[in-house]
Amino acid sequence: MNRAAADDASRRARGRLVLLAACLPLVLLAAAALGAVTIGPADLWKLLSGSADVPAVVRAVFWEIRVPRVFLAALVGGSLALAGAGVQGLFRNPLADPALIGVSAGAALGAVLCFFFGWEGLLGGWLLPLAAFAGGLLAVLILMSFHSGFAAGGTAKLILAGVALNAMAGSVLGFFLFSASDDALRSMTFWTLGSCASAQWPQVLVLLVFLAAGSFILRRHARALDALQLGEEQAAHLGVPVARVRGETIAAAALLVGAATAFAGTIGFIGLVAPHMARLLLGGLHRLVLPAALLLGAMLLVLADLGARTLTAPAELAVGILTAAIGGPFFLWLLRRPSSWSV
Amino acid sequence: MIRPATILAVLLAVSSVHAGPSRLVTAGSAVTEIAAALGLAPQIVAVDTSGREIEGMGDKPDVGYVRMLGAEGILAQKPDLVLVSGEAGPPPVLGQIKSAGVEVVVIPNGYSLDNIGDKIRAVAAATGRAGEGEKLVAQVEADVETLRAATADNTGERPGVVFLLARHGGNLMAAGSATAAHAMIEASGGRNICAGFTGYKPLSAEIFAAATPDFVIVSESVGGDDAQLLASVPGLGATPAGRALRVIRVDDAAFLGFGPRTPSAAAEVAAALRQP
Amino acid sequence: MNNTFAPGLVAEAVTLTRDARRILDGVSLEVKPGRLLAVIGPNGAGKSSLLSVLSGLWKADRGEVRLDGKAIGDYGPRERARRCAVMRQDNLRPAGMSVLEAVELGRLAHGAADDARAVARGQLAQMDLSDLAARDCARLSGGEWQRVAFARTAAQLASPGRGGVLLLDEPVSSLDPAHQHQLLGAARRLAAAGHAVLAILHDLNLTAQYADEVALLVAGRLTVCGPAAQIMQPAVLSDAYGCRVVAVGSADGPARALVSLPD
Ligand SMILES: Nc1ncnc2c1ncn2[C@@H]1O[C@H](COP(=O)(O)OP(=O)(O)O)[C@@H](O)[C@H]1O
Ligand SMILES: [Mg+2]
Repeated sequence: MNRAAADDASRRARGRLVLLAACLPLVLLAAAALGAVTIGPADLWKLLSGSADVPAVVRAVFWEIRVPRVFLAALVGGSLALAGAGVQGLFRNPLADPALIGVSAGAALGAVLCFFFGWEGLLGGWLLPLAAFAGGLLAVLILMSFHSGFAAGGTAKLILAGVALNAMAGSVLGFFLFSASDDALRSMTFWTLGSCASAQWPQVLVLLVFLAAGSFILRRHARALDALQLGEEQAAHLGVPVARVRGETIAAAALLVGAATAFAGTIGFIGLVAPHMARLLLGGLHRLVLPAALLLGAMLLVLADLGARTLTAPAELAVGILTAAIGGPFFLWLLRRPSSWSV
Repeated sequence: MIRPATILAVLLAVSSVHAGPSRLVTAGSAVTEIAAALGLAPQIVAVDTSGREIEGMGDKPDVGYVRMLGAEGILAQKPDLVLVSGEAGPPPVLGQIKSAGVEVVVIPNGYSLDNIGDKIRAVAAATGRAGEGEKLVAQVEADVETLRAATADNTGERPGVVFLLARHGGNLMAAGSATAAHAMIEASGGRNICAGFTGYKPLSAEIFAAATPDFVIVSESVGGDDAQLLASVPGLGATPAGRALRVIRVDDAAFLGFGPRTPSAAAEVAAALRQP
Repeated sequence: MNNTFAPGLVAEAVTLTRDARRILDGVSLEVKPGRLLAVIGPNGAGKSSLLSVLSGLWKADRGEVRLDGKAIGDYGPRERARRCAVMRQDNLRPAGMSVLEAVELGRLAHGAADDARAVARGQLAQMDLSDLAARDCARLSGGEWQRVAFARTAAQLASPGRGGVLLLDEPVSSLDPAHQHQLLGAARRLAAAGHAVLAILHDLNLTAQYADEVALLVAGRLTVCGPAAQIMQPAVLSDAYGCRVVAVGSADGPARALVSLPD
């Protein structure tokens, strides 16, 4: 029966989402258990159960360095993927990347300015993420000034404005990179490679707030994003307040990517590919795609960061190298797998 | 540049003199070199990537690039002291190491021959080797004196010099002002013909439009013989001026590191520049 | 201005200018509950533009559109969607969505208490599409997808006890003859059930068979508007399309058909 087939498909999709949600704690636990400092199962249990019978250094490594780092990676990966899912849905474009709306370029510009003037250590190290976040938001505000109400072709114009904005930010960035001292240049380069090494609890809390806010906004528009797949005009006929959905989706993506980039630098691939993974696994409905992308992005970056801090330990590897190395093969496997959905 | 705050931090760290570390992690080539020169090589349990170039450090565990350190990797070496140069980072990572109860001492960078003594004293104080430190300072100061004497009687035009750095896939970069190479060219009695721009810039024919160098200084690690090297420099290799050029090869870490070997490396370059 | 309550959709002297070109010029018409109004006319006449104005998507430069007695611009998007459903000419397909899910989108404006799945199933059954419910929208034929789009549009109005407005832009352009009758038959039944239906059509015979009234739009002007039998005459149509249209078969029998011929 096809009635049964349709119900089966949505039940299967929901089952997979539950499975993904169940995988996340396991991945987090595995990542917290592994690292350059060896912590055996017994010690791990003692740490988790709050026993005092563990050397102070091990306790500090676990609770002050490793666990915040694992959480930061999860929140950054989740934020980037969630923003990607929102932007792809909005632009009805599978190649849309959160970078398209200019946040990453703006954030990079903010950070590079900090390095250029040697201000990265100011405000107890918080000026750098603040500058990056402000830069990202500023870029998106400029972009949104091109967004005047709902008009056919408004989205296409936004994409083009985003491309132009990215190029302009890129050339300003290039100017500062070119004029920077050797020291500043190296710092800028490493910032743009992305890293979760600077994780601390306050940053984790800040990111958590942003991810919660972004999830709340996007989840409210999940149905509208579904309708937008029929085209903006048709969505408007179905009762979607297109201009508002567009504005709020971009704002949510800007907050998510801005905050993630502020604390971890620019990390590519996840925002583009995690939403596709979610669609390949669960179909196109955004109430499933959004949380699935968040979970997949979180796991992807936690695993990539685990590789970054263990593969060449005690040295660190740039996490950007590993997101694609870990996520790429999985993505290709999903693409080859015969599926009931077409992309 | 040395900021007053960092000097203060060093002085505070230094004031708590102790018997010296038993497990030491160093990052930054000058810092590692000084520590090794103070006889701490056996206590050094890990160094950054640049430190492994230094004699005797090649088989120590590598904690990675000095600007991209990881707290847990360093703590896994169970150090009781972490000694890093000014550029070490990211800054929060140093904070994480401290929060695990391990002492971290930052030795400020200084791109002048006169700073080397300060660095040595800071390292010596942090490791409880004040005596060895003073001996090394005296030796370095003597080398600086020798260099000054050798370049003092230079009269007339100083020779034009370009410093080339090999980067990404063999691309050559020229050192402008605000680089360690610039300071070292001037200290060795040369004149940096690229002082018109700051930082390292990709080599192009335009650089030689205004002035032609008499000498090219290049790292020992750059492959090929002198003729091959010159032929690969755009706008220079084919000209008569290019053929008259002389190539001086230096040990990067020694010449640019502003560590204990830097004055003598500069003296060698100064001698080469004076040859007619 | 006439402010007496008129159910359905009323356009009064609507004028639309885009890129300094007059696309609609003083168009007045009425889509009445219980009736099926066909809009016909050459390509580029402004039929789809008229639909955009009627549905409140575009604002007319001059003139007024009223939905159930209230200016269309005064409705919020959800309330408007509950009263007026539109099937556009360009039906983009959603990626990775099943037919059932696509039809459920028709209920987007109907609040949380609504059983979208049940309504969607009902509409799919009406259009004989139940077998396709679980299929991916991207893997339907053009005609199948057009019928799905109609089912979604019909689902949007399926509220008991109130007549809505249904605007269909070339709804049978990709369908085989049997399914053309199926879809227009369904549109007729919706009209009979109290909805006000407007359909943009090109097929003259289908227009003659299914429309109560016909409006002829040429170059942005409504040249004639009236009962189908009055408009669907060879002379009127030849004039409008600029090609020869003749009637074959007996003038009063059911076998009468309109045929267009090359000049
Ligand atoms: N968004 C638009 N902007 C400007 N002109 C348009 C737009 N859409 C359609 N037009 C023009 O308006 C005229 C009517 O188009 P349309 O309403 O689509 O015709 P049709 O009667 O074939 O549906 C055409 O000449 C078309 O080029
Ligand atoms: Mg049309």
